[in-house]
Amino acid sequence: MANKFKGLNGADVDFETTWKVLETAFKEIHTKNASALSFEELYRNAYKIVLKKKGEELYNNVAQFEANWLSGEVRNRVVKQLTAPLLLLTDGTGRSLATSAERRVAGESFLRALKESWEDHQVCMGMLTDVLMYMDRVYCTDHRQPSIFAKAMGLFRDQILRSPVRPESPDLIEVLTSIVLDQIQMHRDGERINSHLIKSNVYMLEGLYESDQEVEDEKLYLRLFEPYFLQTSAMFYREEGERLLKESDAGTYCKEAKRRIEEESDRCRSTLSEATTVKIQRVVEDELIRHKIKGLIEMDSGVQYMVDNDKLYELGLVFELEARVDARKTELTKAIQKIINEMGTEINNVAINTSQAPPTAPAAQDEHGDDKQKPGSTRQINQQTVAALKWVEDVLALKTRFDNIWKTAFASDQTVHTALERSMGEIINAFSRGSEYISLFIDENMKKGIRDKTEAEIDATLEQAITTVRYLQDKDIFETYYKKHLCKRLLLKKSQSIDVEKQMISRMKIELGNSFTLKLEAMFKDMTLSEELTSGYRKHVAQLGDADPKRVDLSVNVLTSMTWPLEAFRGASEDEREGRSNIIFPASIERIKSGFEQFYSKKHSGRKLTWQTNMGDADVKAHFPRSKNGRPMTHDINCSTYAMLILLLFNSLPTTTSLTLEEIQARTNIPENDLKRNLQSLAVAPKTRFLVKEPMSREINAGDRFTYNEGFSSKIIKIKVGVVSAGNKVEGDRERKETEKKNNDSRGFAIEAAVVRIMKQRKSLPHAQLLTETITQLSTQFKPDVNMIKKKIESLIEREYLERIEDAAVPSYKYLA
Amino acid sequence: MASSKAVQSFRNAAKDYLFNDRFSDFTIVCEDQEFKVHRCFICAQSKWFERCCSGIFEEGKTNRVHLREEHASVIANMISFMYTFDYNDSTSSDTFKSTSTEHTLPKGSSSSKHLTSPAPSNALQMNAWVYATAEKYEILDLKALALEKFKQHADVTNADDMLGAAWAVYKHISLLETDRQLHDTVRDMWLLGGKELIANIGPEALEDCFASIPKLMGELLTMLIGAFGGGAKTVRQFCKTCNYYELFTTSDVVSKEFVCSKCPSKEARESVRLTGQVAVKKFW
Repeated sequence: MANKFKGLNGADVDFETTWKVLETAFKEIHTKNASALSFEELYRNAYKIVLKKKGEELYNNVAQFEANWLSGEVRNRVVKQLTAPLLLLTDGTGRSLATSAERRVAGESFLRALKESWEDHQVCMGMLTDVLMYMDRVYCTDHRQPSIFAKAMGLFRDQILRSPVRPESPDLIEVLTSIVLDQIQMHRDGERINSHLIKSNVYMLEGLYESDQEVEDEKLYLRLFEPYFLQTSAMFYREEGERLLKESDAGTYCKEAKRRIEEESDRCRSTLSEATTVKIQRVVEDELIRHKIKGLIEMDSGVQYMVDNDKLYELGLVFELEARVDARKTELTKAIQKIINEMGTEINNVAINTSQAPPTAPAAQDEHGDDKQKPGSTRQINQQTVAALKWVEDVLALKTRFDNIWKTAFASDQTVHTALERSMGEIINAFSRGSEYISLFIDENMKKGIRDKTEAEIDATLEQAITTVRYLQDKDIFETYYKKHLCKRLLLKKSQSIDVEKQMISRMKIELGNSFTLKLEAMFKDMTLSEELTSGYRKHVAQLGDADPKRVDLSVNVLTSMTWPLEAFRGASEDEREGRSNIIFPASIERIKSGFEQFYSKKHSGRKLTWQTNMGDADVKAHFPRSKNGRPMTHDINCSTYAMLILLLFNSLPTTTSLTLEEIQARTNIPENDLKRNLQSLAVAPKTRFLVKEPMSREINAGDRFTYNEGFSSKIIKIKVGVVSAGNKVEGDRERKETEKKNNDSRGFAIEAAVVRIMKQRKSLPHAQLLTETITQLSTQFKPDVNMIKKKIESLIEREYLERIEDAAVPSYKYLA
Repeated sequence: MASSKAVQSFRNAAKDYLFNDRFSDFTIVCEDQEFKVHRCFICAQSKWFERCCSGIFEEGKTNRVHLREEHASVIANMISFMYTFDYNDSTSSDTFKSTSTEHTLPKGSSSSKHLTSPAPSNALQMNAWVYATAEKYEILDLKALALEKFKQHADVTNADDMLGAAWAVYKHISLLETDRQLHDTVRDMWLLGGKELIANIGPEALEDCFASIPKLMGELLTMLIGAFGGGAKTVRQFCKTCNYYELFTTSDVVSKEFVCSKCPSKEARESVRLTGQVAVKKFW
């Protein structure tokens, strides 16, 4: 029974014999003669060797076998393909030894031989790995050895690539690198190359590592090929970039650079490795863009030229190039900003020159006797008004132009947009009269510009206006002007459409905020209420019953004081007119005046009405005996309230009675300046010379005498007497000074209010921080002057709103409740 | 995941293809048996067969592999596992032969009848062989299953089982030295069998076994001797004349001369009683 289990021992193996079997088979595999080999047998032999703890010997034997095979058979086959010119490529001398066509053909046979050896090696090692799978599983895993496949790949690297072609010459991989680089250069020069062959060799370099540990970033491709490729590419593109800058214009340069970048990406895809795409792009971008973009932009045919000649496509290319290397597009933005600044400064200078230019033309025209009735100063103001409108239009044209460039060429890029906006803001704010001019521009459009325009066009105009307003830093000044101009438009009924006016206001509301438009809206409200009031008064008078046909008709605008910039109607030099309320009205006028006052006080008790006689106008029917070719005629005269008073004065006198200036003033109490101006209109202007002045001269002087002009003659029935400056014009220097002063005052209040608001909330605050917060709070209205803030703080301290904190580390203030 | 019901259906369906030459695209030859198999089944279970079938070696070209130095019954079980995730480890009933489609090669036509080890003759041996085969052809699930079955089948007092297991595992089957799961199990079985096992085997067969398989004997001894602690022991000294004994420590025995307390004799014989514990992994 005991013997029944007996038998020979399990697989006894003789290593040498078994190895011989394997070695023979491996040779067959390497000579592509494997189809008769039995996998089972080879595996079984290797398996037994490993079971008998001979794994290490087997591993070493296989490695040795492969090393011998590679260094003997394979290397010779590859090296045979190397011709002398190819070998000398590594030190650069090979290029001159053969034509590129010869080098290409020779290089390709070498690349092909290497590629085939590599592929053979992989196939064979695949088979060996199959046979030796138990060794890999047991021996390599337990002893932390690289798999036999990895080991054999390393042997290929050491025996083929990293061994010198012949003694004292460079390693084969260096030759390989230089051949591939040579071929790439041919490709860059426009020759056709076999990119597939190169790609196969790149695959090989990507599949091999510097050590048998196969660390990912130690690929031969990354260590021994790519750096040289990038280096030579950098050299090539540096030279090409310099050549292109010298030889071609900026547009061509851009196109070429773009083409090269795309070409290099394509090359990575078709010939090299995708992993290099980003790196080579970076190299090309460095050499062709980053180091050259400044020179490129500043070329004669650079950005300035492109803008001047509307080369939008080329500008787009420049943008695209710089966008590749700089998300902020610094150089292009700088250049564009410079151009905008130059063009903007030009526009500003033209406007300044026009406004400062002496009114040469009017002087000349005066001599020709043309338009004599217009004083030279009015002429100049008109000229300036035109300049103001032109300035706004020029600015808008500039903006439109660069907006178009931005949209078309700069891909509506946000960073560039910000820069453009900043530049536009700078040039608009660099022009001290910007606020006034923009308001004038709107005024002009409201009065004339929007006539005959479609709704869409009006909309566009309003949008343009708002666009410029948006840039203004000192919005408070703009508000002042806008109020002034709006005031005149409303009171003198110059506006084309109240609807459009209101649209503008609502746009401003959106753009500048509620507080900005509050007073403007109040003005509209006053106008509406006044209309109701007037018609209410008319009804009231009609109800009184005694329909007096001679009764003077009255139309009133009741304006809330403070809301309306009434000084707009005043000559800048005039003092507050104390005498205003003492104007002496003729009885007919006095009657309706007091009538209305009664009517009004019934409706709104406790309100005080102040009559702005300087702002009113009147329609007067006047009878002249010889007006119509010597026959009598009645004219409808529209004139200022003062002119009406003067005319009524003469009406109450016998026709031949004359009055001196002083006498007229005594009987009417009209302020001297207004009186003079009105008399000028009535006695000097030829078309409205209802009075005769003595002596006859342009100026009104003390002691001048006036009489009713019996011989007045005019073909026109309706005559308008222009006195009150009818339109909104550019301010004179005096006016501007006053506006500035007023503006500074209101800024002072705004600053004080802001400081108090901040301090009330914070109780105590360091000086610097208070300044910053104040500036931030006020930035929507204007850019406050630091000195002014300091002065206002001083003033607040004096008035005991604030107090300095004595022992604070930094200067600080405390709020006094 | 498929439901367990679906998995069960698939298993049942797969079972139908075992030893069925329908769609068969590969042949495994072993001894005088020819098994018609399906590459998708065998390659799914074994990396070895995958490489065998796909390579450009002879097997890949002819769609036929001759497994030399294997027992047909073991290979049949391996194939059975590949289709059914189980196999029948009984050696008597010849389950695989009852199915119709494997072919018996004409005697002598198989050129390589040079197996050196006897075919498995009981379930324990069969499982040990399947275990080794699973290792060789890299079917790790089968290896685990075989070990499981091997442990289940151990009747530690059965002399045939224990001897058979010892021969198969220690002598006939080749495994890596580090792969000791079968060996440890056999050794522990022997220890567990104890006196009864030795009695059942009989002295002659035991001697033969230990002479032929010194490795097993060595391992058993190592376990046994290792069970006792060394160092100072309590020693009994028996008087050679009156058989009276006294207890001493070993050091006392060395330094003192023996004088019997009952009689004048100065001659003594000594003995030591040892008790120890052997830790045996639970496999049953």
